[in-house]
Amino acid sequence: MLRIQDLTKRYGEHTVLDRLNLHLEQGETAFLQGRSGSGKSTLLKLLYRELADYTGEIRLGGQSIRELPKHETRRRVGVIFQSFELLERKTILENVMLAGEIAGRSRRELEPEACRLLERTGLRGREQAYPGELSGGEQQRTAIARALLNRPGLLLADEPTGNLDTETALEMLQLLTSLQQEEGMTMLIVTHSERLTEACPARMLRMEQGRILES
Amino acid sequence: MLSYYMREAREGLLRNAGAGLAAAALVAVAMTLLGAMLLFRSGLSDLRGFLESQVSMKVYVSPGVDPREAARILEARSFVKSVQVETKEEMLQKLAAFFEGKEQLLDSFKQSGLPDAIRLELRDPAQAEAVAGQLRGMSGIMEVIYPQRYAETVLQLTRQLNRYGTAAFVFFAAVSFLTVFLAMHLSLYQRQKEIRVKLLLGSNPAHVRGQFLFEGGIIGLLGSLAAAAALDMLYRSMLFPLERQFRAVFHLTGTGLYGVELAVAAAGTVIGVAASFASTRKLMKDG
Repeated sequence: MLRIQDLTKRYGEHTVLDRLNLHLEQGETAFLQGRSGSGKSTLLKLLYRELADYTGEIRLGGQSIRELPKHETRRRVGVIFQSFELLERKTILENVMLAGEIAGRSRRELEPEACRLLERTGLRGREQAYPGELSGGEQQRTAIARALLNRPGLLLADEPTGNLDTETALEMLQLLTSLQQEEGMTMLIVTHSERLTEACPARMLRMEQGRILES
Repeated sequence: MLSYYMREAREGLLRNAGAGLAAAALVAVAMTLLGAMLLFRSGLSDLRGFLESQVSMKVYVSPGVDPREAARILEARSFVKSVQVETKEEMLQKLAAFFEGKEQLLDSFKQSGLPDAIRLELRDPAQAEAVAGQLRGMSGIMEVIYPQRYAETVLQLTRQLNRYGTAAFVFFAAVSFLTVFLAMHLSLYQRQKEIRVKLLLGSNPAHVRGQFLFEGGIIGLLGSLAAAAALDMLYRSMLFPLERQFRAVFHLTGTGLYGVELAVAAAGTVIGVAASFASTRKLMKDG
């Protein structure tokens, strides 16, 4: 599903990613750990194309992402951010549907799917609430539902539990892994938390000096 | 997609209502100026056409000259189709009807040295100026009055209207463009997070821009619809009564008015879209 070959990213003289290689199979889940500044976020940003100018190759479903328009890559890659990135003026349901609306789908078409995902993430009955009325855990559940709406082949989670307490973080991780199994997507989770990785059996990756090492 | 655009534009306009209203108001001013200029130009053009199409000419003869004898001489000229003598007494009779109830004004006419006149009908109205020049050179003729000479004044007036009207329109159009530009800039600033999230979720930058162009277009359209309403009022309160009174002179029909209103609506919308296009250039570069 995801194949990265000799990926190098430099900021001036500083090399952040140094001939990095990674292969994730369809339906595989992997945790990515590493110290601050090790290049985890840079890797994710390259994958969802918030950053450009790299050497090497990133292939998604067999296709180089360079060949795809940026927005097309982003529709194939779902992203969950630590800061949730929900729009305060939109309801929970509208936030989830937004991912499909920008792809040109109508609300009528999207609503059943968005409601199904909200039910699956435990937010049934909160569809008309605004993000400001929700707890951190509920906001992250909304962000998960939104990331899954377009049925992405690859789901990236950048410290998805960073703003949550340990109990909620564990709940969230269980939810993510069960959804990943249901939807059959590939998932790459960046996290600092050892407790989380211990609670969930999955492939462990560690970033060091701009390269990925298997743990 | 259209309903998505409309929803997002509505949300954006409500969020930024003050700046949007100010921009729409300035578009309305610029478009009212443009529309009023077009309507007045049409009226002046009708008036000029009417004056130029007139075949009558009035020739005043010097005191002591027999108007009937002068009329016979003029009738023999090739450019004259017909003549009609109008003596001082006949003219005073006509004026008496006009000044009914204001006899003191008529008395001043009686005491003045009102000359006898001859009304000429020309074969070709286009020759009026040349004929007038020729007649003025003849002895026994005091003055020649013909409508075409006022057509030149109307033409000057039209030119002035074009010059100053266009300058005022360009000024207000530029100011309204700038205001829409700033309103959209403010909107972009307020919605930075929304734009970023949409782009991260896979929105095509052109679609995000399209949303703002739509919003700018709505501001322009609202302003120009207000201008169209103002023009409608101007037409009904001022121009239509004038037209009804002088049917032979003015010919602006309801269709013509709708044409002007449509042009104004289109121009206002174009200003809104163009200003928004300019303010979202950076978005496309960063997208």
